Amino acid sequence: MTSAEVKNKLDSVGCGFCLAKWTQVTMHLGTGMTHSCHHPSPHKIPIRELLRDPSALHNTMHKKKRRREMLENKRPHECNYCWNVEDSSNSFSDRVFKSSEPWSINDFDQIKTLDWKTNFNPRYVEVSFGNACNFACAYCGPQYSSKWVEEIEKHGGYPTAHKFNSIDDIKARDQMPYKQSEHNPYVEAFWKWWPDLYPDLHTFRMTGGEPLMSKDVFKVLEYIRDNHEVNPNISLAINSNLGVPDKLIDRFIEIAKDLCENNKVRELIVFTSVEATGAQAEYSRFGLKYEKFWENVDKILTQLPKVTVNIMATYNALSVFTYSDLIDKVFEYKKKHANGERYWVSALQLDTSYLRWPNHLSVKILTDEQKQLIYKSAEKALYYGIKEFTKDNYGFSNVEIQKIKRLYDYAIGTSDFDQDKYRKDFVKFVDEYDNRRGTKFLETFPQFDILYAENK
Amino acid sequence: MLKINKGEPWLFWPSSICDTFPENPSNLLLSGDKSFEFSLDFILKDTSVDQKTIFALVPRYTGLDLYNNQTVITVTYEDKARYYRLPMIIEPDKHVNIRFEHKPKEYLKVFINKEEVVTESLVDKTFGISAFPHIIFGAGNFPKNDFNLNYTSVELLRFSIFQNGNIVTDHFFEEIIFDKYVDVTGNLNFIHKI
Repeated sequence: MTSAEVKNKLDSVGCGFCLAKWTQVTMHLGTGMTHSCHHPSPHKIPIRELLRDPSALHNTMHKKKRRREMLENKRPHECNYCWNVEDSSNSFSDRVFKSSEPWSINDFDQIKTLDWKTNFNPRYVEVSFGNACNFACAYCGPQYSSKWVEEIEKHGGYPTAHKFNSIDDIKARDQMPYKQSEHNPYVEAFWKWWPDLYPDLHTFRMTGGEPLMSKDVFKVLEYIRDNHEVNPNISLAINSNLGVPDKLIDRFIEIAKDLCENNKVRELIVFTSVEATGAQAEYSRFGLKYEKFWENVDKILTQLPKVTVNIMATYNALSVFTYSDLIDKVFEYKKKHANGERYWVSALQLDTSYLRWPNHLSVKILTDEQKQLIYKSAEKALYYGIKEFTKDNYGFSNVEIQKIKRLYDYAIGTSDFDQDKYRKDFVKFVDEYDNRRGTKFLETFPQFDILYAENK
Repeated sequence: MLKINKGEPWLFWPSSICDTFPENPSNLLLSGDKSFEFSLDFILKDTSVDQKTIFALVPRYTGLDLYNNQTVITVTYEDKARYYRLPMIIEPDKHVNIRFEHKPKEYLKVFINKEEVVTESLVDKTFGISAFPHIIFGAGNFPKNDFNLNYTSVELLRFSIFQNGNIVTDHFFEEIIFDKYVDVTGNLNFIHKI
């Protein structure tokens, strides 16, 4: 079905109708927040609703009211992102794309006739069980990292213009994560709902914190292993920083091997992150042991010959000097682990996104000369390009190359970004980071000496 | 130098890998609606009597073929091919230069070793237009298509494309990355192994 046909179909129900409001959910159980589609901001799940029905992790009254608007030919305000796209261009919005997905469109006939109050089990579920994490990446924060919580509780926010990672604002918005040792009613509700949810799932993705530090993640994996006949077509994905102790990596591999070799899942994809190499990577992803990270990537790709590892690189100002080396490393692993039997075409993928926040780590603080290094990285990825996107080839895909080039376009693009302000914030940030963590910015990044001195 | 073995053709199609990068791939110039010049220096290494294709600009076939003791330049205008048959002026182990000059609505000229061998007015006809022109070296088609292949062995010494007198692609076949020869202009118009 073409995008135009899907749009017509959606519009036949209502001008704001989007299947993702029913079929997709991201649940942040550590903070008790939920949203369907990543465009509307997450909203708090009322405990009283959970007590009545654990599927309120997805089917909150807030969301049901938005569904009602959609069924009554209205456009929910929280979905403005799509309305802006539809009203300002001829492009299709994400409403169309998300509704077109196989985990959405197949439920069209059922959903359009549902009463707005009716609960619906989602097909595509992302869940974070909490913020427990052994890393405190420079661009992350307390909501996603318990290490960050520890630091901010001890030292407070950073002395940047917007008090980076100050916990007061998070508390004011009632988004302070539960500690791992505390009873979490959202996690409790998840387990009540899970036996009913699992059979209906198309895709299940576990994020964090660091998922391999969560006992609930292993509980899910073991549940799927032991109950696979209920849903052998599930597509499973898990995030990991691949910096946890060996015993956790090995435990994951052992279960994953069973799931893959015995076709207990349709596919299993591991998502991880790194966006620089060596000491510069260890500086920005605080907690990372760079060589160990690659040992673990190698271990997974060797012991799980059907699995693809996807590196979600959050390209930031600290990535610019070594990203080209990272491309070499990724290419080396693509070549080494190409075997023609992976779930996805490549053994290892490099998915480059640009960091939007915090501004002081954005590539937009870089000098023009430094930004050219991004272009050089895109050139390298292009020369490493895959000639035919088939499993008997290896190399960088069209999308992997495009995303690096897009990053360069973003870096050099004009905007109202206040470069002077955020360069000063950058220097304040790294000074404080060094004080708190014992790191040495200029020793690690001598290439920043002039920018640092000029903005000190 | 790029040594092309018989049966192992190479390809000039820099826009084939990534939709948006390079931003102005120069293979797109090689179409009937654009002005272009391109030049190829090569040495034929194949002494067989088989039909041989030195290069083929496709999908509207324009190429240099050797057969029946003739040098044949094929040019496709709109959808119709025209064959310019010349004596066998391309001999093995001899350095040869072939150059195409194209100006829409004006002319197409082909030179071999600086001698003008084709002059065609384009006042009332158009050199083949394509949305994605590309050049196969050492064959007349892609191996997977399994027809009109006419493989040959040939050494490429230099390949250049010019637009309005400016060089936009230049290959001396020295630096290679992952089976792709690097375009020394920096414009990313690589040539890669099929």
